[in-house]
Amino acid sequence: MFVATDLHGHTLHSDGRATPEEYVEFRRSIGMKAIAIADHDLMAGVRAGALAAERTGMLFLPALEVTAHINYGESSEEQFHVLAYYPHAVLEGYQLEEKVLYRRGVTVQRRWKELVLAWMSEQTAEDREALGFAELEAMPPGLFPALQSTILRIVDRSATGPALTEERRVALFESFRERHITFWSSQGPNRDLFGWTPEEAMEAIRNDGATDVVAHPTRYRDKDRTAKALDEASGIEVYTSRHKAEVAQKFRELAEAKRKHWTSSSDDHQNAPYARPPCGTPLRTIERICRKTMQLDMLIA
Amino acid sequence: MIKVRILPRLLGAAVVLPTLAGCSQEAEDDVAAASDGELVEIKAGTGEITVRGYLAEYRSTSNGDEFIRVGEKLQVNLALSMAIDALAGGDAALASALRADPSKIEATPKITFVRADDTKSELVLAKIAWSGAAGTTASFTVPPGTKRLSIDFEGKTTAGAAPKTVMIFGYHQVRANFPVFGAFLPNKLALFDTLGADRRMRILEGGGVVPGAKISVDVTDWRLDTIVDKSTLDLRIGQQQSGNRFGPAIVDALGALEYEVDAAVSFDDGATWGSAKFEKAPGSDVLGGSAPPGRFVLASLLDVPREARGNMKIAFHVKAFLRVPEQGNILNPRYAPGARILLKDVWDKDGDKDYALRVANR
Repeated sequence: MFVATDLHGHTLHSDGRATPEEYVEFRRSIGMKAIAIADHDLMAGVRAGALAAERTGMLFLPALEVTAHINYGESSEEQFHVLAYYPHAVLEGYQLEEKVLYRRGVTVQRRWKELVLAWMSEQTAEDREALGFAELEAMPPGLFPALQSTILRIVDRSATGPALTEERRVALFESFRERHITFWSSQGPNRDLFGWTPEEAMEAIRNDGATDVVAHPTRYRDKDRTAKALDEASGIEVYTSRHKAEVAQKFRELAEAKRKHWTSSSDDHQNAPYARPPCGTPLRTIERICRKTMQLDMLIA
Repeated sequence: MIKVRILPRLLGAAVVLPTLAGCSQEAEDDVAAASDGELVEIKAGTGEITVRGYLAEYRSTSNGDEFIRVGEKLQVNLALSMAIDALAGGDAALASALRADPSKIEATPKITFVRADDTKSELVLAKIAWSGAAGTTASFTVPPGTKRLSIDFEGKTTAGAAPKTVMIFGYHQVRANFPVFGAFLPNKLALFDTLGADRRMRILEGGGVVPGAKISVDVTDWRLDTIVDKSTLDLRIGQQQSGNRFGPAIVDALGALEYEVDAAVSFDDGATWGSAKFEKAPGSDVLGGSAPPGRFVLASLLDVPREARGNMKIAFHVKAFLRVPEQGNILNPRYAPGARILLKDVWDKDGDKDYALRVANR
């Protein structure tokens, strides 16, 4: 049995464009039954998303996409993403805010603000003013524009007005792109946050009471290392906009052969027309995440 | 028939509430009222406001809905993690010390009540007591005539190198403002919204529509989205240059979805009908205290005739338009700048019937 899901997508709290409420409302409008917001490395949008979902009757799973690395510090270094899904029940009380990965997300927000302000400080006074440096400096880390919102502040005329010429926007965008990549990589100062191996990320997720699912497994260049990580994982993201049908079928067969959980999601960033997942997620995966038997009448697609 | 007199102080304020703008004292001083007290009494319950994860969230603890009413008994819960983040910031040692001994955090709650006439009163409660991952205030009752309340927490600690005082909510910029319903009786608000795909309607103050008073009819944006099935509407107006983490990108440019709402209204069980025009009310109270920017309701303030009887009946005529901006660097435009295209034209009714709201007995 399958449940109509979208368990992987992003909001303006990372590199998406939608508010958590917009994200939830769109999925309600297309008949989803169970959804998650899985922003990169933080859960700042989870409470707002959960509240919006509660008012729509959908099951909302607290989640995030943890950035780990393969071959960290080597020339073949590449990011490896592991989705963490928490039982809905962690929304009760203050369990969510006490989770290790939630606290890690608070640190991520603080360091992101430091990185953006440091980059802006290197720009001309005119550029800093056009980008709203003073306003940004006063913002608390939790509300500071995340990656996509910062990019839009640079490239989108409607966000910052006519103060920047198109030429300056392009130059600033390239400069910022070079800098923001270092936030996650071994060239930056955040080894403690992002220097985990895939297996270390999975362990952290499990220790936090969540279920680990490898995101878009076809994306990684090191196929042997990916295969090893998939062997260790609790689940595999099978259907995603990054997988062609035949690729998804291959990973579904792998997951079923190895008796792993698997999921169906969009990895929507609101950068492209929404690609509805072609299949639901198995009910048993949802039950595993929630650690309980689900009411079928609510969830069956 | 009981004649209800409304406190002048409240009447003056009715004018400043957007959804009740235009109330006149003459109209309200002569309200034909029901005999069961439903016009002047609110059945207030109990509830709690919980502040955690960048959100202040109200929940009834007496089987109520998502709104606070005058007379309600409330408590506020504050996540310990928020106090620690605000006080320690990036100071890991201080954060550890505070987590190990939360008694080193003094968090003093202050409740500000905004009355119907915009005057304010403050209630400073005792320092909260920490227990586990949160602290809870003493309970307090929302005074009569309150139209809004807000909460602040001042946090202090002497655990660090130097004493520190911060506004805990200020650090997180949590919007801890909540509308309160029941300050403007016998004027009432009829809310038409959705719960999931289900359409809902209710009078937030309870009881029926009051003859001689005002009724504000509010329709939420999400309800309108449901009525026109927004997911089926093509809002693309072309493309635009943008960027994402991987580099420059061309993305779809979307126009704005605009609604026009009119309604056919009867106050005598459908014997005679009039029309009502709805206006956009961004930031309406019915969206709650933490509504995200961009959400709105369409509202219409109606005079309830003194002769109203039976049921107030209403049916909504909803038109959805795609608005193309006048300016913007749109690539491959599909429409002329400034164009307004009708996408959908539908009626919102209770199946084959009109929606019916009971008129209070005279």
